[in-house]
Amino acid sequence: MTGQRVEDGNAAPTPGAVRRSVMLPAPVEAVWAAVTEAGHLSAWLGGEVELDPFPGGQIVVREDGRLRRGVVVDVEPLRRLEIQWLPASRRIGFLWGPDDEPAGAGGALEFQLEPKGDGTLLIVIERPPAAHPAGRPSALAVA
Amino acid sequence: MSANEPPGARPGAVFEALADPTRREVVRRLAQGGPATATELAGDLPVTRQAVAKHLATLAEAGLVTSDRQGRETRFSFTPQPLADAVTWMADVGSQWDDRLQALSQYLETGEPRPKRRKPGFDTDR
Repeated sequence: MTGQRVEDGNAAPTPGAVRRSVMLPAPVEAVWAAVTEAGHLSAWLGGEVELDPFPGGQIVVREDGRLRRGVVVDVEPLRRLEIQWLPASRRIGFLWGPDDEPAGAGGALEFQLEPKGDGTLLIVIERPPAAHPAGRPSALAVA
Repeated sequence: MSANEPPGARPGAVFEALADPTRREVVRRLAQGGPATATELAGDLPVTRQAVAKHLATLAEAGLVTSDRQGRETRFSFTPQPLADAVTWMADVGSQWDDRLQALSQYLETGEPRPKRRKPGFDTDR
């Protein structure tokens, strides 16, 4: 299950996706380290981060007593990191997103890096939770 | 039939539902003209009743319409809250990233790690 991707300006973005780009004063290697190494991530992302930056690896973010969990979907070293957040589950107490976000939400996060001179252009795309709870039937049948 | 989704549960479903022009038109029609049946909506739009029914099902799954069956007639109404919640989701996530990216920029510039830093576990060289 590969997440939909924004092919940098070509393909239509996921509806509702939040996209930010920022020029960072560091070479691409340093920015890649900042988005893939748990210690660096913990310094700026907010919360304490565990990350196994390989496809299928887990990311865990602990912040203010809340836990977000995700899976690394795709890695292209020095260029791209894509994470699928796992749906929150009340049963085991995971929540991702705003405090009052109900269970059943997921979402995805992607970092794209592009060297620009001495710096790096970092693009962040966060896609909204889309899938409805598994196995849920169609909400209504039209007579 | 669960037409009552928890608010804000699936902003993605709301945005996807509204990415389709016909569904936007259905929502506009219900928001402005009040509750209507699928047949009435099909009369206003250049699509079949069957197509309208499918669009209504998608909108209902996103929480944007509710249905009310009376006898053999089912009337659909627009429910604005999920749209407001989805817009709030976008605004909140956007401002969170603004804050995080500012922190990242400062972190890269000053090189000052916060406490709790661990040893890098990933070789960044090609």
